[in-house]
Amino acid sequence: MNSMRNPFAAAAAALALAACGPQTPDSPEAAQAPSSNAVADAARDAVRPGAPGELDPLFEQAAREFNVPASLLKAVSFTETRWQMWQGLTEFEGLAPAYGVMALRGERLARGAALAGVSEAQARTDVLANIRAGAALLSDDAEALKVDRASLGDWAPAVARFSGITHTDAQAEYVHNDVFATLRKGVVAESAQGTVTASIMPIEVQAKFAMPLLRALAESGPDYAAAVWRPSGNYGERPAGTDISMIIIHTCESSYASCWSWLVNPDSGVSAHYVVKEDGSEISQLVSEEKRGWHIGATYDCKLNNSVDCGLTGTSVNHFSVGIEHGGSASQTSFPAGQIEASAKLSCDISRDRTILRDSYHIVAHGKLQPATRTDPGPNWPWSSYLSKVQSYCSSGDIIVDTNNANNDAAVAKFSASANWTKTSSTSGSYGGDYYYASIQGVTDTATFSFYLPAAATKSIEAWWTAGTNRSASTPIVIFNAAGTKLGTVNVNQQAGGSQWNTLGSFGFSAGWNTVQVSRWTSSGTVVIADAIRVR
Amino acid sequence: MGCRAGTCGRAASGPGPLSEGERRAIPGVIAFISERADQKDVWLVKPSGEETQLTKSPGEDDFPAAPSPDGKALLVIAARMVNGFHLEQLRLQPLDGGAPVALHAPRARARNPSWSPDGRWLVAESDARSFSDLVRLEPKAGTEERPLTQVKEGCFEPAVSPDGREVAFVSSREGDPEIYVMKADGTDERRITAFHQEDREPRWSPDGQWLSFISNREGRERYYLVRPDGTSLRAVSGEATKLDERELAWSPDSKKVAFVERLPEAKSRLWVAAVEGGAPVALTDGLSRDDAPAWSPDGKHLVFVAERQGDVDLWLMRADGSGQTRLTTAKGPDWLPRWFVPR
Repeated sequence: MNSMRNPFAAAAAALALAACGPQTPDSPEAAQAPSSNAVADAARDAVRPGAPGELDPLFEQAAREFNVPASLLKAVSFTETRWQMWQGLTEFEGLAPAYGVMALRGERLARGAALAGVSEAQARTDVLANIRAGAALLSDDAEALKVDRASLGDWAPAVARFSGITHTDAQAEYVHNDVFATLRKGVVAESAQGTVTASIMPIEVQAKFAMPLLRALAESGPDYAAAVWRPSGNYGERPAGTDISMIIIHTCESSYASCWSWLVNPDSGVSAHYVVKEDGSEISQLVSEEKRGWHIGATYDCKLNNSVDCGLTGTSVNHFSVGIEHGGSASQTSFPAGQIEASAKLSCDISRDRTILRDSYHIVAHGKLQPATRTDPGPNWPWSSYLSKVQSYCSSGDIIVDTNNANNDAAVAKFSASANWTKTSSTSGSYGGDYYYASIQGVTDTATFSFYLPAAATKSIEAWWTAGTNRSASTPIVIFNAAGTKLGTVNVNQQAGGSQWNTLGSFGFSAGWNTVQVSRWTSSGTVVIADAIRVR
Repeated sequence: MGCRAGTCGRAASGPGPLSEGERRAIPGVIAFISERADQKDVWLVKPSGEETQLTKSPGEDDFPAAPSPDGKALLVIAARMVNGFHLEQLRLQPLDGGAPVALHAPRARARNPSWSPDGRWLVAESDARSFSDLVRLEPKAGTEERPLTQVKEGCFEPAVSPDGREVAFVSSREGDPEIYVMKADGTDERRITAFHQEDREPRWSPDGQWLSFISNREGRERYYLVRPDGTSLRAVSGEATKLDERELAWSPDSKKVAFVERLPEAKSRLWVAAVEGGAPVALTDGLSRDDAPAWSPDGKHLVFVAERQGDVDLWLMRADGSGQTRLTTAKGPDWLPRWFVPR
């Protein structure tokens, strides 16, 4: 499993190791801490199999050769591709496809290759050639702009030119909030084996470039309060009476700033309702959900979507859908967790407002409905966890612990019971399809529902059981915090209240794994039931 | 597990393709969509290969829905655009080629009809009074649509029980799709599934003893069986399949289900599982896209959609996977087969 570490701690560890020779396996672990730094999120598998495993030496080599600061080269690459090799896919006609870790495209790729003395094919597919072509372009831009190469902040105009972005505000966002913010925060990416593939040491630096416009809260999107409203003129009216029934998931094949600035450009002729930034820290709304965005060039064909909603076949998908673009590429090997979270919250909001079914046939990949020319968001978009996040955001963050661990989100929910408990589905109305029972007995032999809380919180606990006449009318359910301290015992009548959530009460839980335990120690009835609990 | 050596796929046991004699002896007729013209039309094909065009509506797409229980007509969903507004209409299309009977005015949503066993009424999704609720209507022009549900989050995919007393359906009132059953007059609802993931596509076994449904509760799309009272829930495929499943079809004797497993690179494979349990058996080899199985009325053969030989066509095979035979050959996709006995 990859990991992104606190850049300060990990960078210090990496430096120390570089200076001190062979590393001990446990020293980086000691420095490991959950990173709250969104920039540092999940830039894993920076190079594809077959390519060199480490990017840092390649960046250093190209930086020396073309007299470009290595950290700047890395920050540009991280902003563009999360240090992943892009394979040149098209999302918007008129915007040439981007290649490699530097996301070089079109004429710029041709010129960079010529400046670096490599073929265009090499600049597209070979990691070092791609980085060298990018460095040569940055250097050439710096020459033209008379950049003081010794001053990192002076490189800002060259960075803006490198981006290919023409929209003034988007340039400022890209320079200040992406490339230079990356330099200030630092970032370290590791391979699956735990070696550092690329890193930027945090540095205090200010870009010498016009600042982005301050965005007031009033500029939030018309439909999604958390979105920045950057209206695009590229939209039309939906046909009268349209039932907005699908959400289409796209990747930009470019960085976030490049993406939204392209989609608000009247000349591009395309748009999307939303664009989600790579680290999830920002979402732009470009088109009101009520309006018809121009994000997919396909008429609907239900054959491509499991024969669902065949009646819509032949209709432009833009008529009845909301489009969400994501900074990034369908060819990347992973998506930052922060981006998936932010997008899932957005999809929850859209589906709630528009009564869109939260299932895989109504939250659909662009590539699924336009397979001849598009593949986005690509094979590595985490569909299953994405949809379950959409569901859970729309159910207000409840944790449900089921008796079948295959059904549980292992990060926050698990169930255990001794072999004395029997699994069955012989009474209807169980949660998730089956449940456990055990005979009453004066023994300590509980069925345990565990749930994880990242921080202490007061939560309401509800329990689900299948009711029946042989159940205990006084089943003890005991609630413990993560330290094992008993918070309370609630005796429930399991002869009634079946197949629904029954509130047990509110308790003050601690951070970590808290538990709700069904006890057999009662004198009423024949059996006690453990089926599911809900924490809200 | 699964496909035993020599018993499935193109090299399956028994001579294939099917002989003319065997094909002529297979009962019934198969309605399907053909895209051989500009628009989608409904065609009929006999297992012997003889084809007739059932609907012909330029500028509009027709989808075969459910054959009427008396075998004399087929419900068709007609979809078209009027001034940029998408419209759907349920029509009863007589098999003798007579004029279709429109059941209601065109509207944005009129889908998934399911017949009562006596053919006197049907249940469908409609937006007549809401986003999507279930309505009961009669198979005649201008029929009154009686609402059976009123749920603002929507109700979908009705399936009338084989005895006509109940309707299984999907409702999203809990925030995610769940399976419910109600009496055919809309009363006495009971929830069959409860889980915070998708449960959809309820389908009765022909003997009414089971409901099948699809769920992503284990992180992939899988079919499950459950008694109509909500007990005895289990996954259809056991450990046999690893990837998403789709398009389950009940055998007429209620003893088996056929379904599709999606494979990488847009390929897919047909499986059959015994309802009483045991390892499912693969019917096709997974080298191409094989979809949408439908059983012959006597349960001895299956028709399916395959993308082989450069086109999407209907194929026939015996119920054990042998004798795989191309049935339709026209250029353009042929798909969505419905197999029934006409009268």
